Parts: sequence; C-alpha cells; structure tokens
Amino acid sequence: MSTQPNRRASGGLIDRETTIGFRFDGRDFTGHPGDTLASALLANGEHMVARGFKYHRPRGIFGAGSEDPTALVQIGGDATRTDPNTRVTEQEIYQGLEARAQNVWPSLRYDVGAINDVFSTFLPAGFYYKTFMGPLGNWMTFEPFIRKAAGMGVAPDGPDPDRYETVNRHCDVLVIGAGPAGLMAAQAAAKSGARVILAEESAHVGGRLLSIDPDYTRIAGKTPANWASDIADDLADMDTVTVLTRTAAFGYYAQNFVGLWERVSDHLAPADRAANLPRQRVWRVRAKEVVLATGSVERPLVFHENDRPGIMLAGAARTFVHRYGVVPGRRVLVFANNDSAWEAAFDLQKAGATISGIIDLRRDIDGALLGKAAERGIGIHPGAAIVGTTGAQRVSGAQVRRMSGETGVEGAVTAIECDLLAVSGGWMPNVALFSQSRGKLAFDEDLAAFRPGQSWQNERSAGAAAAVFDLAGCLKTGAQAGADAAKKAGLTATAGRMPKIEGGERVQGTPRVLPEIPSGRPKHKVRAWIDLQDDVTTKDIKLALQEGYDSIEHAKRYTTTGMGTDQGKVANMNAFALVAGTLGKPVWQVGTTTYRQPWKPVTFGAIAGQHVGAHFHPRRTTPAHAWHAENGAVFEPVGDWLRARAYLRSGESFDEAVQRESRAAREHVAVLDASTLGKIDIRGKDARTFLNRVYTNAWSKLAPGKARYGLMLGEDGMVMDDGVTACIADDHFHMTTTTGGAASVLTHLEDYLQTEWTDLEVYLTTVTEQWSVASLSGPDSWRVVADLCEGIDPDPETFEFMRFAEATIDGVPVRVFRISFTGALAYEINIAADYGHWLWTRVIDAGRKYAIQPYGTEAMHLLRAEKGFIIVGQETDGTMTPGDLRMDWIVNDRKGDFIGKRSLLRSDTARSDRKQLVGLLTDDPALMLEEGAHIIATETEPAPPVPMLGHVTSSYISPNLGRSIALGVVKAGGSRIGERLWATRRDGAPIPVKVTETDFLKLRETGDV
Amino acid sequence: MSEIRRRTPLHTRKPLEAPGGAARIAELPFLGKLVLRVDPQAGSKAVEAATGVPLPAEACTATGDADTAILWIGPDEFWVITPRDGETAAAAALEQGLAGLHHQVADIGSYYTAIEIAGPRAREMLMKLTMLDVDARAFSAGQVAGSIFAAAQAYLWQVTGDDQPGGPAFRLFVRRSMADYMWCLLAEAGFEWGMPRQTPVGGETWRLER
Repeated sequence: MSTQPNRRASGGLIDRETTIGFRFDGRDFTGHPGDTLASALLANGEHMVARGFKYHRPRGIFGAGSEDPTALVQIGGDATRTDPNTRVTEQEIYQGLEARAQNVWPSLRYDVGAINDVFSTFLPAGFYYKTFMGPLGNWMTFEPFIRKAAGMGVAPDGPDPDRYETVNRHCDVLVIGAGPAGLMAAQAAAKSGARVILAEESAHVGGRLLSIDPDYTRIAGKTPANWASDIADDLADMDTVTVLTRTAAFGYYAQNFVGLWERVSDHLAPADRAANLPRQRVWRVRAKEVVLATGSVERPLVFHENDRPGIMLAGAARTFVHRYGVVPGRRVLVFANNDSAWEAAFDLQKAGATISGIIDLRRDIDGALLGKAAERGIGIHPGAAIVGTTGAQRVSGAQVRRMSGETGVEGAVTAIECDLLAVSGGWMPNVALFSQSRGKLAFDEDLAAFRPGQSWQNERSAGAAAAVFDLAGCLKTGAQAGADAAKKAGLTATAGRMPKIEGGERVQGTPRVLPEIPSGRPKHKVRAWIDLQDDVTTKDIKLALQEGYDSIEHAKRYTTTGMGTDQGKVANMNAFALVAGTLGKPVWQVGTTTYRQPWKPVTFGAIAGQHVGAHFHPRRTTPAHAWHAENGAVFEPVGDWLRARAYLRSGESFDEAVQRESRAAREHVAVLDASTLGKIDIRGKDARTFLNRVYTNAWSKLAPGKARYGLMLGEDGMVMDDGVTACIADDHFHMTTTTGGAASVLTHLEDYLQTEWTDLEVYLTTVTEQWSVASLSGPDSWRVVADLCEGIDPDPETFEFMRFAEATIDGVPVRVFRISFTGALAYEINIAADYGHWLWTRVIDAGRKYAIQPYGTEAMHLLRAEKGFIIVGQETDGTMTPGDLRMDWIVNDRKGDFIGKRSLLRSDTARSDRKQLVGLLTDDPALMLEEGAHIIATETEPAPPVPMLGHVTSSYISPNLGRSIALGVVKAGGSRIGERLWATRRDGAPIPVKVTETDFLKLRETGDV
Repeated sequence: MSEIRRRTPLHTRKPLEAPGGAARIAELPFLGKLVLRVDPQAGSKAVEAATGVPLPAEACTATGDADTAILWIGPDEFWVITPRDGETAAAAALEQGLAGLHHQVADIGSYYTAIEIAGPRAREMLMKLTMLDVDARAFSAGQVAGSIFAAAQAYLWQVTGDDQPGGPAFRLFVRRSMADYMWCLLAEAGFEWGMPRQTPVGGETWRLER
C-alpha cells in the first residue's frame, strides 16, 4: 500500500477521514472518497495509465474530466460487468475497485506492442484506407494483426446482470452544466416557478469553481465550492426542480429533445449499490427551453514529443490541486500561450511544487503576471517554445529555445528538468451540444476558436460556453440566460441580484495560437501529437492534405483524428487550425467536422433501459393461449403475435403433427385459433360505396347475413391484403384482414376516409381483439357447431357457403360464419374475447365425439395450398397484381373506380408475360421443392447469369393428395399449363416439374394429379 | 372443462403494491367499454339522454364519474365507460338515441382492459413508460390522452386527483394481447419503490424453421 505522497494536507472535496483501497494494473493503492481514479493515482505519483492506440507509447492523465483523450482503462474483473474504455478522470474510486490497463501485453510497463512505435513510418496516415484499397488480400493479411495491436478495451461477456432504466421528463428549462453559469441559470429559472432540470456531468456541482483557489475567492462570502453546493441544495429542495449529478447530456436532438445519461451507481462498490435502483438511467427530456452552460475545454499545445505521461493540461493540474487535493508534480514546468496557465504555476507552487519555469509563446506578457512570477522567484521564458521532451514513462525534462517569427526557433537549447509539464493553448467554448442542436458556430478571431453563433432551437449558451470566461460574467450571463429561458417558457422571471465576488480568477487574455509549435527539426523527424487517443500527429494530417484529402471531413477520416471514443474534444480545434494553416486558409473557411451525438460514449444497457429480455417487446397472445401451451403447441411469431404452429403429441415430430392435423381438417374436423385476424367494424350509409372503392370486387348487392372475400390493392395495383367482409346491415359491415396487415390496413383506410373521401359517411373502428375466433374445418365441422350453438341450424344444405348468423352458446352471444380457409366445409365461431378461452374448450369438448383436433398455422398454410388459396406475403411480395395471381375473376371493371384500378392498366402491369401464379408438381411425388427455388426452362442449369422464369412460393407434402405440391410464380405461367420446367437446387441437378393449375384438390377430382 | 367462462387478460395477476402505499397496480376487470363515433355537435343531446353523461366539450378530457364516464379520444371519437355488464344497455340506448344520425357504437369491452395505477409514485412510474407529459402540472384529474406506453399503444385517464387519500389514481386502457406486457413493465417501473417484479407470459416453444 502506498501512502499517497502527493496528497495535500487539506483542501478539495476529499474526505481524508476515510481511506479506500483499490487496485490498478495489479498493484494496490489507496485514495479517499471524492477521488476519481485519476486523482487517486496522481496522489500516488502514477501518471502513466495507458498506451497509445497505434504506437503503444506510454499515455498519461492529460485532463481532469470528460475531455481527457487517452487515460482509458478497463474497470472490474467480473467478465459480465467489466467496463472498457473508462476515463480514469471520471471513474470515482470505491473500496475494492479493480482497474486494468487495456491495449497492453504483457503489461502496462513492458508492452510488446510498443514495437509499433519503432516502425511508425510503416503505419502512416491512411494506413487502413491504403490497406483496403491495395492489392486484394492485403487487408486479409493485416487485419488480424491490426485488430490485435490497435485494440481498445474488452467488451463484457455474457448477459448483463445489471438493471438499467429509461425515464421521460418534460420541463420548462433544462440547464446543462452546473458551473457558475449553470447554477445561476437554474436558480433564476427556478425562482420563476418553472419546472427545471439541472444536469451536471461530474459528481459535484460547481464546475470551474472547484478548480480555483478557495483562499483567494469568495462568492457571497462563501468559498466557491460551498456557494455552489448551497445553491444546488436550495434547488434540490424545490419540488419543481430536479438536480442530477453524474449526469451527462449526451445528445441534443430535434424539438429540444435532450438525452441525459445518469450513472446512478457506478461510483459505488457493488455491495453498496441500492438493489432497487438501476445501474444507469437515460433521461429523455423534452425541454421547452435549454440553457447550455457546458463550460470550456482547454486546448493542448502541439509541439514535438508532447505525448509523454506527465504532460497535462494546466487547467487540469489546477483541478487536481483544488478539487482533489493532489499535487500532480513536484517539479513543474509550465508551457503556455495565455495568462490562465500562469495562475496554474502560482497555484502549484503554493501547493508545494517547485516551478522550474514558465515558457510562454508570447513575447509581451502582462506586467502584473511578470511581477507575480518575479515575486515567487519563478524563471520565465517569454517568446520561447518547448522543442522536445525527455522521459520514458513519465516526462523528465524539456528543451527550450527562443521563438523566431511564427515558424522558427533560434538560439541555444536550454534543457529544464521537470516531472510535470503543464500546457495550455487557451480555452475553447464547449460548443458540442450547441452544434448538435443545429446551432451555427461562429469563429472568434481573438479566441482562435469557435463559439455559439445563431441558434436553431430554443436554447441559449451562457458563461464559458458562450466565450464569457470571467467569473462575474459567468454568473451574470448564467442568471440572464435562466431568466430568459423561463420567460420564453411562459413564466415571469428576472435575473435577480448577482452575488458579491471577492478575488476571482485571472482569465486567459488573448492567446497566441500557433497550429504547430516550431521545433527546428527536420520535418520528417517531428512527432507532434494532435490526437492523443488515435495517435494522429501533425505529419499525418499534412500527409493527408498532400494526398488530396483537403476537406476537413476527408482529412478526419483519412487520419482518424477525432474519431476515438473522446471524439477529439481537445484535439479537433488543433486539427482544424493545422489544416487551415497548411492550406493557407482562414479557419472558418476550413470549418469543423460534425459534432455528433453522443457527447461521450453511452452504454448500450442504458439506451436499452428496462426494455430488455422478457420486457423487450409485447408478445401478443390470444385468449386461448394457455390452452395451446398446455396441449403441445409449438409457436411461431406472426408480427407481434405468437400463434400455435402445430400441436405435437408425445413422441410425434413436427412434420408428423402437421400431416395429422391436415388430414383431420379434411377427413373429419379440426379447429384453428383464428383470433389474430384483423377486424374492422364499418358503419355508415356510404359503407357499400366505401367497400366498392377499397376492394377490387363489387359490394353493392351483398345482402345482410352474407359475407364475401375481397382483395385490396395499393395505389400501385399490387395486392396488399385480403379477407372476408360480412354485411350485418346495409350500413354496417364487419371486415377481416390478415393478421399482419391489421394495423396497416386500418391506417390505409382511415387515410382515404380522412383525406380523399371526406364526403363519405363512414366510421371505422378496430375490433380485432374484441372477438375471439375458433375456425372449424372438415366434413363434421357443422355437427360440432350444431351440437354447441343454439339458435342456428348450420346444416350445409340450408346454411349456405358465405352466410353468417347470430347464435348463442349457453346464452353467450356468438356470430357463426360459414367461410373457409381450407376449401373444406368450414365454420367460424366468433365470441367476445373475454369468453375466448371458454369457447375454445367448449369446441374441443363438443368435438371430442368427432375426434376433433386442434390445428396450427402450418397445417392451415398447407391446407390452403392444397386448394390453391393465396397467402398475402407468401404468394405475394408487393409486386403481384390480381392478374399475376390469376384471380382476374375478382376484379370488377364495371363497378366504378377502386384503389389501384388505374395502375392495372399500365402497360407493365397489363402485359401478359408477367410472373403468374401456377401449381408446380414434381415428377417424383415424394420430392418436395424448396421454397424460393428458381424455375428455369432447361434441364441443366446454364452458366450464370441464369435466365430465370420465377420461383417457388409455397411447397408442402400434402397428406390429402398423398404427394408433394407447390405453388410458384412463373413468367407467363397461365399460358404454360402442362409445360415442363425445372426447379434449381443447390446440390444436384434441376428437378423436373409440371406446370399446373393451382387448385390441387380439383385436379385430383379430374384425375390430373 | 374450464369452470370459468369469462376471463380478463390479467386474470392470473394479483394486485401489486409497493410498501407504504407508494404505488399500486390492479386490473379493473370487465368494465364496459364502447367506442362511440359521432359528430359531437349533432349528437351531444342524444348521447347525454342515453347515458346520463354529457360528451366532453374539451379535447383530452373525461366527463362523468369513475363508474360511468365518457372519454374524449378524438374530435368525433369517444369512449363510453360503464360498470360491469352495463355496456349492452348503454349500446342499445345509444343506438336508439342516435338512430338516423351518422354514428357508430362498437363494443370494445373485451378488446381492452383497464389497469389502475395509483399512489404518490404513480406518475413517476408512468413517466418511465410514456413520453406524454404526466407531471401534475400538465396532467390532472379528468384528463385523458392516448399515447405509446413502452411499445404498446394505450389510453390514460386520470380518475382521481392528487389530493385524494392514497394519491392520484389513473386508468390505463391497453389491448388485451398487450396487457401482460404492460402489467410487467408497470411492476418493473414500481420496483424502485419496492413493487415486486413480474415475469411476462413466456416459456413457449418456438419453431421458426420448417
């Protein structure tokens, strides 16, 4: 156990009373509550936590929050819970936390992959692209090696044992970021009575306030951290306000819809996590108004050898000092182009570090700063640059030379020792969410960075996110933004009084921004990193430009800059500037790459939320489902429905069950649960006119008590649905649709009623699940109906095909239809679904003396194929007209217009050589064709491209015909009846088939089978 | 032979409660439910005469009381809620009263079931499932809205106010085939406050291949 040598005696949001033990890279460390993995490791003097993606060079802690590009580790030893690519700067420690370095072998410190660095010339920019585009086989050769070498963390294995949740919220004002601006915004908005959500990415409110010296600064007489917590506590006490910490706004979408990702319990030891709470939550927030108080991100400096562990953003170093009570280095060198880093030097010195110098690219430094540095005995190097660094696994020194113009250095090299190099290239407003919201960025010449320009949605930026860096300005713009947002949301609000500020923070002034710091070295020997995660150097970007990838989006993809898990939070601006500088264009003209959601990686678990496993999607079941499940049914999904596919008796195979059921449905009686069919109640005096327009056949003369089959076409003339519609009264019909088409048919019909035929008096209401349906098939079916139902004589002699009547079973009303899916004598009994299970058991009981058998959808498909009945979606695929199905009889040309009629007259739909539905019989009655098999005209398969005539749509072994049968679509099939064709198969010669009519039962009657 | 003739979709589910009355869910079996389609201008008097309840004048509201109510579903679409077995008489009275007027009365009593969601945490449970704004400021007693709850379409009606003992009570009308799915997700939503978790109907054998 180490003793945290770099822990300050006091200060920061750290509970020194409690000590936490954790493991990193196989070694034990201690920290305290309030620590992140980064601050605890720094307290123990550990800077190196990872290795680079490509060259495997040592990587350290560079930032202090979500902006850190490269300090990524694997959390957790449990294979199902392990979390890859976790920023050490965000992961809070807990007792027993286990973290491992990733992308290293055998260990972080001795890594074989570091050999890549030696051969870095062979891994140039566009390496992947070139390998892809190179000779065939290159990618195959390299891919396994690249995958192994250029890895990130390891994804968890096995089902995720944790719970996640998505929740929805609406609010008047959503404030993103709880720094000084965000807190003031939330306060101003909350005071108006608005519903407010304040989301803070890190564990504590305060933002930048937590990184400034509390000895110098007071807000309303309090330390900055206390002021921030007090405001947040007051807000949290209001029942109109929700304050969320550890919650990152990850996506800003249309209509002010913002996704928040809350890490509810990742900061707790597994044993301490509340069992009733999810591990993480996604909050889907619809905000009337949004305040973006997302702060700013510090920009790195791009100089030779700027990637060693111990090289850290100066602002991050201050955060470690003040927020976490850690001195991240003992001998600190500061390299800056602006004033803010000078404060870092002073703070670090006050915290106990020795400052080995301040190197500033600028020649003219503010006198006050120079005075302060002199007072503190800090050596300064104005107008100078770092031209190289030393140190293997941690920086040990830097070489400094005087700047000569913008692009050169001159004079002697001064070597300065250090164990921390704090760098600052100025501050950039964090415009990621603003840009996601579709806001237009404006380039600020003074900042040499982008700031929010014109808004597109109902949002405004405040504080550093709006390029207002001073504390007073942050508080003021925050309060104003909060008040404005509340007002725009319809409330009465004022910014209120500003708290009194004592002390405060020196801001950056005007930075001297150079796309690349000169090193005086030959170009090919310069290794200055732009993107630390993806290992992109200035050389790579220049190479991309040289090879013609001069659009910023192309340069990004060619070099992969900004494409890592950090999406280039700190890197991108430098890449834009380098591209601009190299091309000699202004930065605004080069523009930016797209700021995409998410702001940072969000777990799939959180996005899926509670909608996983058994809760993933509704599994719609019929009222008799439990009976089916108890009686050997195997199910198939049909849309969202689970339908019984066959009922297997013990020892019986699926195929045997289907054969048995199919025989029963023709030889005596079988019953199908047809409850899932779509049903629409149609009412109104124009109902007949309506039906005439939506079906291809005529409905004017269908009498009450009668039913009819209809085909429904789309506007393109293609069959979209079919079903039987019954006339209850002249103004009242009961339509059935296919199971899968129920919702889309109703939408289609409502669409016409509401937009095209507003003159028709017709109401449509879905009644799909009001009715539970038992469909009986077979010669004895009428006897079961007769035994069961009162008030009806179902004798087929008198109760004709396509009739229906009201009846009762034990006094419960039913509707009995004589309609048939199978071509056999068949009846349907409809009952209110509450009685559906009871009806089913009554049918089974009543049918017992006729040896009734339940039959499933597979037998149903087989039975209708025997009769040549189509199944929409099986014989049709959206390109079949009624003519293609050789069902011209159902199209009535004389009744007036109907949907799709005109399309049937198009030359293409009217031609005679379209694919048409036919029967296909193999010579060998035992041989079953494969559904989807292609039909060709030759005995042997010709060389590709094979001229194909069509394909098999349905194929079965029919027990009732005692042979195989198939339906298929074949070019000009109607004129090929009797012809010999061949069906291809994967292994073996094409199978000879005879083209026949589709009604196999009729063919048997005529002796043609 | 089954003894029970009439079964609601959630007949196997027992009411659930979170400790301390934070939230509770229960199926309200066999409520009468009718879809009524009519131009409210033309039909309002006849509807009130037939049911004793006026048509809601405002969108997304309900009239009547917890036993007999009319819910506004669309500009010419209403749901008539009746006590158990009251729908047949109500449908007949509506048919009679609206004779000669363009209208539709369709029984959906078996189609949908009602799940009561009540208690101080009821709103937060609903917020886990719907993007509707069900905050007390936006949705109060007497309001009705149709929306998507998780992956199912449903209609929400707040029956009693937040000031009632035991907290507000909502009714969620959901298709019978999706009732079990909804029930289990509601229980899951209440888990945070100690409601027992529920496993959806399952365990069936699937066969996808021929």
